Order: sequence, then structure tokens, then C-alpha cells
Amino acid sequence: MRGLAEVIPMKLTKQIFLLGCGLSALLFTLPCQAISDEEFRAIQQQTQQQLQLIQDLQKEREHDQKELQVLKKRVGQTEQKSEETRQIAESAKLQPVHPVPTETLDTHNFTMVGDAEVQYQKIAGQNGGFLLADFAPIFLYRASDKVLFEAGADITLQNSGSAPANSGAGTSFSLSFATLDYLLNDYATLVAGYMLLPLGTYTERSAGWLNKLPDDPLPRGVLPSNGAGAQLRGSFGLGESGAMLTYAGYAANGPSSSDSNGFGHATALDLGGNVGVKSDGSTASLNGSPSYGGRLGVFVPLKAHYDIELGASGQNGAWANSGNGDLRWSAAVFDAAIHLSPFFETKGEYIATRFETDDTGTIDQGGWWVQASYKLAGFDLDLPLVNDLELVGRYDTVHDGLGMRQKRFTTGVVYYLMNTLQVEGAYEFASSSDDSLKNMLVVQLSYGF
Amino acid sequence: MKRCRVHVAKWRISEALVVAAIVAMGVVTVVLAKDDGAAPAKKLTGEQLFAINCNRCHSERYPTEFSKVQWKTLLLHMRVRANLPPEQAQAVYKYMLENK
Repeated sequence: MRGLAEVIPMKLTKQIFLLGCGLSALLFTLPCQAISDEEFRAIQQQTQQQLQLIQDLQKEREHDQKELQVLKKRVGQTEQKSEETRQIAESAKLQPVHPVPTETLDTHNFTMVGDAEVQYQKIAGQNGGFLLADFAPIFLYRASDKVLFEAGADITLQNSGSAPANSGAGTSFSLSFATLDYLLNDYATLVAGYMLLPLGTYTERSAGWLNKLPDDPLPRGVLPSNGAGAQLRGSFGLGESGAMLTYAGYAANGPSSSDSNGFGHATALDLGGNVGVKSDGSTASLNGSPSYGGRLGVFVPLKAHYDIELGASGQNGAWANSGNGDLRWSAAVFDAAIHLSPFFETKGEYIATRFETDDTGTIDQGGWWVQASYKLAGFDLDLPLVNDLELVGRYDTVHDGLGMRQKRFTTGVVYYLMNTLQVEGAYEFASSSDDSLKNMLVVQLSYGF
Repeated sequence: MKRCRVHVAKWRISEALVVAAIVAMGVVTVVLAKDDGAAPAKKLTGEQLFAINCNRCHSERYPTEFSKVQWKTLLLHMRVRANLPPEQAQAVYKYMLENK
């Protein structure tokens, strides 16, 4: 609109200027002395015509000015209406409750992942059968880019009968973990709730479709897998190669003592019992101080599929009270994993625990395991069936500090039907000091989703 | 007593062998990785970080297996579970979206 206002006077000025130039040129071309009456009248007539033209242009300009004013007024009214509409829309918004999330609702998400297994076992000297059906979902809810709730459960079909005549079919539901994760910054995350304990790496990487053998290494039995408490964990990048230093520190209720085997006695150690409220309404915590633990690890990738990971972790705390004070339970775990091409992997853990008792003094338990696997695709034989196979071997051993010692060598094979659907077959050659461990064939169908 | 000493000696030998095997494997890994001459670039790509971080714990997952929003949730999960640094998680996330 401002452009239009400028164009009109400029146009008029230009026309007046041209008219003046025309008249001047006309006057200069006429000789001063030789002008007749007829010529004078013609000039007079031309001048009157020019004056009339000027008056017409002036009228036109006045008309345009009026139109411009009308348009300006209309624009002003439109702007006012727009401002009023904006104010109405602003006032219609819900008043926020602080703190205001920075993300919009479309970033929220619920995702379910997990795994499922069906297992057939044939223990030496016993009848074989399908002994396990397990569904282990993990529920993930991303409340924002910094808040994640995750919970994992195990729904397992098992036998709960105690006499041959009873119906033994039963289903167990157990919570593996349920935590609220808050990413404090790039280097630290607060994890609170029922946690997978970072004692070694096995617990956090042992879902059915991740583990290439159908059962856990023996020495994992002397460690707690979970704990109720809070944990701070994270990592620091080491250079640009992808290497990182990882850490985790936590406080958890820790192990407890059962009453049935004699409180504080060697056989009463309950690695997962220090949680919740008991049936008589009392808290299950049997000591006044939580256990503390943590893990420090370093991961060094030399390139894709060639890497080394080393870690050291431990936990210490009371597991029961006695007349002389707290009875302590402590553990140390060293873990290592090596990848040597896309086809070869080896990993293992060394585990040692120590706990004080009321009846047997201090007891040392522990053991170690090492597992190696090779994918036959590494031979590049161009045979589909063979290329989908992976050979696995594991040696594991444990001693309970009370005279029992178990050793086992497992040889197995994994056939990948899909990237996350696999059939695992394993035969376990076992020996134990108390004959509690027997040779066993295990076949498992695993699916990760 | 003598039997116990023998047992302890055997135990220590077997543990020492395992430690020696792990150290030897580490050395072999370093040597083979160097022999290939394909040392990682200064700044790793999302594809390289995917290969380095994801496959060491589980079979590879394909970008088409989950939606864009699900990948965002899963990589947040892996930032916690696998201690994945944020810039690496972001690079892997971008790689997954680009290859959907």
C-alpha cells in the first residue's frame, strides 16, 4: 500500500516535468519577432489544453488518495481482527503445570520387546520331555528423551506338583527387573527400582535368544541377579574409535537369610530374599545397611567385529544380623569378552564370593566359566544350511565352599532360522562331588522380538 | 592335607591357563585387526557403530524390524543397558532411519 502512495505523485510530477519541457521547447523554437495572431491563438489554445490536462490529473490524484485511505483503513481493521483472534487462541490454551516437558506428545512411545523359549530336556537316567515354556516380555515406555521406564518379566510353565497323583502343571510369573531410568546428562543415568545387578555382564546379556546355550553357567548360581535399589551408570568415550570406559555404582538391599535353615547359618543364605514385605507384615530386610556395589569396564573396538571388553565388579554388604553384629556377604567378578571377526566370539567370567556365618565361620564360594563360539559362515562354503550354523563350547565350574564341587563341559550348536529365531542344541558332560549334576541333552527353540 | 594342596594347585593352574588364554586371544585380536589394515576412521559412521556395538551382544536387527519411533525408544534403552554414549546412539539411530 505504501508503494501505491509513492507511485501516484511520482507519476504526476513526471508528467508536469515533461509538459514543461515540451512548452519550453516550443517557445525556444518560435522566433520572437515573427509570431502571427493565428499562431498566438494556437499556442493559447494548446496552453489551455495543457492546463485542463493538469487539472484532470490533479482530480485523478485526489481520487486515488481517497481510495488509498480506504484501503489503509481496511488493512488496519484486518490487522486488529487478527490480533484479537490470536489473543483469544492464546487465552484458550491450558495453563501448564511446571515443569513443562519440552517434547510434544507424539514423542511418547510404548514398545514391547523380549523373547520366548520352548525347551526339551533329557537328563541321563530320566525320562525326557518338554520341560520349559517361557515367555519373557520387556516393556519399554519412553516418557521423554530423558525418561524411560523398563520392566521385564518371566512367565514360565513349570511343574508344581509334589506327588505323582497330583496335577503338577503350574505357571510362574516373576519380575526380572522394573526400573525408572533418568538420563541425567550425557555421562550419567540414574536407574532406580528392581535392577539387574551389574556383577559381570552375564545377567544383562542373558536373554534366551542372546545366550547361545540354553542354560546359565554354573558359577552364576552363587551371585544374585537382581536387587532393589538405585544405580548410577554411564560411559565416557575414549577418543573417536568407539572405545569407552563404562561404570556403574549402586546401593541395593542385597542378600538375606532364610529362617527355615537356621537364621544366619551357612545354608540359609538367600541371594534374592531381601525384598518387600513378608506375609506377617514385617519388612524382609534383615539388616540395617544396604549392600553397595559397582562395575568398571573398558571396551576397545579395533574395528567392526574386532573388539575386547574387560570389566571388574563387586558387591559388599550385610546379609543377616547375629549377636556379634552384621554378617557380611561380598563378591568379586572379573569378566572378559573378545570378538575376533564377525564369526568368532569368546567370553567368560571369574567369580568369587565370601560370606560370614553364625555356624560355619567364613565361607568362600566361586568358580569360573569360559565360552567360545564360531559361525560356520566364516568358512564361506556357499552352503545355506551350513552357513546358518554356529558351533558353541563352554566349560564352567563352581564350588560352594561347603565341599560340593561341580564341573561341566558343554558342546552345542545353534541353527539360525532367522536372525532372531534359532534352534539351540547342547549336550552337557557333567561331574560333581555329590552327584547332583548329571549329563543332559537340551534342545531349545528361542525367539527374540 | 596333601590332597587338598594338590587340589589347590590344580585349581590355580586351570585358572592361570584361562587367564593366559584370554590374554593370548586379546593379543591375537589386536594383531589380526591390524593386519587387515582397515583401522577405523577418525569419525565412525552410524553403520560402523552399529556393527561395533550391537552385534557384540545379540544378532543383528534390521532397520525395517521396528518403526522410527520404536527405534528411538530402543536406542534410549540401549543407552542405559549397553552404556551407549549419546552421540553414538544418535549416529546408529540415523543409520537405521536412512536404511528403512
